[in-house]
Amino acid sequence: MRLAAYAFAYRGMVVKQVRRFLRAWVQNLLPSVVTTVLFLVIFGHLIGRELGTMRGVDYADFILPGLIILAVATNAYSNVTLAFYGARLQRHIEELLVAPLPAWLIVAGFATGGVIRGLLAGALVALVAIPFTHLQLHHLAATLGIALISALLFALAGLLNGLYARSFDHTSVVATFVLTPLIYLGGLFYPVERMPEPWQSLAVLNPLYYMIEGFRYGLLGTGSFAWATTFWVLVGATLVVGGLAWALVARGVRIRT
Amino acid sequence: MTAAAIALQSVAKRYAGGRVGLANVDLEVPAGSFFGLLGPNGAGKTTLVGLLTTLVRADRGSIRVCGHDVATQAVAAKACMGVVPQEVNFNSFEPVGEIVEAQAAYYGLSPRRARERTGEVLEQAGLLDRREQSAWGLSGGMKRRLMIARALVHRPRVLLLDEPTAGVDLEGRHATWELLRGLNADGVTILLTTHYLEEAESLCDRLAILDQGEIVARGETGELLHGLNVQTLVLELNAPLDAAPVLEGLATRLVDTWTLEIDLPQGMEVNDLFDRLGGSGVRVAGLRNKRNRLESLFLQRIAKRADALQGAGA
Repeated sequence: MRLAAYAFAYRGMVVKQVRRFLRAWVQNLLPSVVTTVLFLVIFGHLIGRELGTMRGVDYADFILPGLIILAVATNAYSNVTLAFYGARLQRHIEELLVAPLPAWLIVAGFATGGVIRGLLAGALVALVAIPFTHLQLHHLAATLGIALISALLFALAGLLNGLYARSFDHTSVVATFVLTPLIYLGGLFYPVERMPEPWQSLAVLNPLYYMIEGFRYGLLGTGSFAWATTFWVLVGATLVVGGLAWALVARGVRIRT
Repeated sequence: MTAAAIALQSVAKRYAGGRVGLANVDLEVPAGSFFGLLGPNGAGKTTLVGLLTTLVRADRGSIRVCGHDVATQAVAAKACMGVVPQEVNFNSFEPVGEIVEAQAAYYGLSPRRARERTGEVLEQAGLLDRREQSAWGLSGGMKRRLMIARALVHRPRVLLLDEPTAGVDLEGRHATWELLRGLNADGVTILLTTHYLEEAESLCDRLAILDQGEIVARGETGELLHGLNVQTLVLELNAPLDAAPVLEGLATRLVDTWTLEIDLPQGMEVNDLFDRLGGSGVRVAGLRNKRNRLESLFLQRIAKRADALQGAGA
């Protein structure tokens, strides 16, 4: 009985989150698409022609997996950050807090909203890339598994940001000053093995490196290590971040007095 | 003996900075009662509602709702409560129907049942024609009614209302009163905090007055009002007076030449007063209470506590 009630509550939360980002779809989904098209035209074709092939594929094809996973991660992250911060600011987080919902379900509801937006943005980016690249699907399970776990990891990290943000400025600080540099230094535009030291060694500590390489393997069949390594690194990180998010929401940090 | 729908035992809450929210409060709200919680601003009314809903965490003490401890059985306790907060706390960009349907889902109603109940409670609240509209466009009174509808969607056994009619026009207030009376008649236990004393007197069968985190009076409404030791009557005169008449044992004041105020002590009947006024040649055209009776009680208890605190500090 309680399980059915939780299932309906979870559905209600997810529907609310999806409606929220679809209400402003131009603002929420199109920027990733526009950015990807620009990257593919300028870097993939104009500059990429000069660079030749990278790991045996066209440069545009090489950067595409990184661009897709960039869209997945940033959309999942910003969706939950803004949704959670907005709910705190306007106090409609109280609708959830006074309802008979355990903390894990509240975390799951917000995170799922982020995952759906992340995967939708990734799919749109892949779709618009078709005319510019030779989009392949080398390993379906690796592609979907890494996209899904990446979206979940970043959605949960976004919840932590939304929990601690004190202003709208704070909702973009981590994405701008932490995530974007990590993604660009994680081998999005070039293979990490071509980077000078110490960047090459430091890349091993960058979780985004695993994500990009794993996803690249899923699409192109080329990567620095087995995709399962990527997957389990991301699962581990997701469990840590998810556990932290659950503990903070359960304790009522920044949401209860 | 009626079971308590809400029971607080030795509950205390102190906020960061040292401000006292509640100080060692014991309170029981019997099942089926319409309970009024009164007090000046900052008395602790919203803190008490926050503690019941778990939005505020108690420093110590035990709080039970529908027999469930809100600290250790929060899910069960919250499932039987409906909450109408003091401030608007829904997403104003969402349509009215979606706000209520989402809340129904949070309480475990299936999508089909949630849609049905949303229609029913919006109709009850007079908002059915606004179902598809954004909540942004609602008036202040409509927003309050929307919060009441949202709180009722899962048929709660206990309804907590934190100043539900603040800022609502007279017509809206009376409509809300009728709605609440109906719910209470159907067996819903209601805890109402309000600044409108006539609202509390009109609706509540039991009252408690909070001041600075402590309960300074509590009991059945009629019993508390009966305990008032004096009430001030305002008399409209048939003929002007130059000075207030001197009546033994009664305080009289002339407000203007046509209006006289008299403090009527407990136990004295109005008939006796008229006899004595008649004996002094004063003819009365009309009569009203200077204050609502509950207002008198409220001011008396708050003043008594202030005196006690002053005495203790001296």
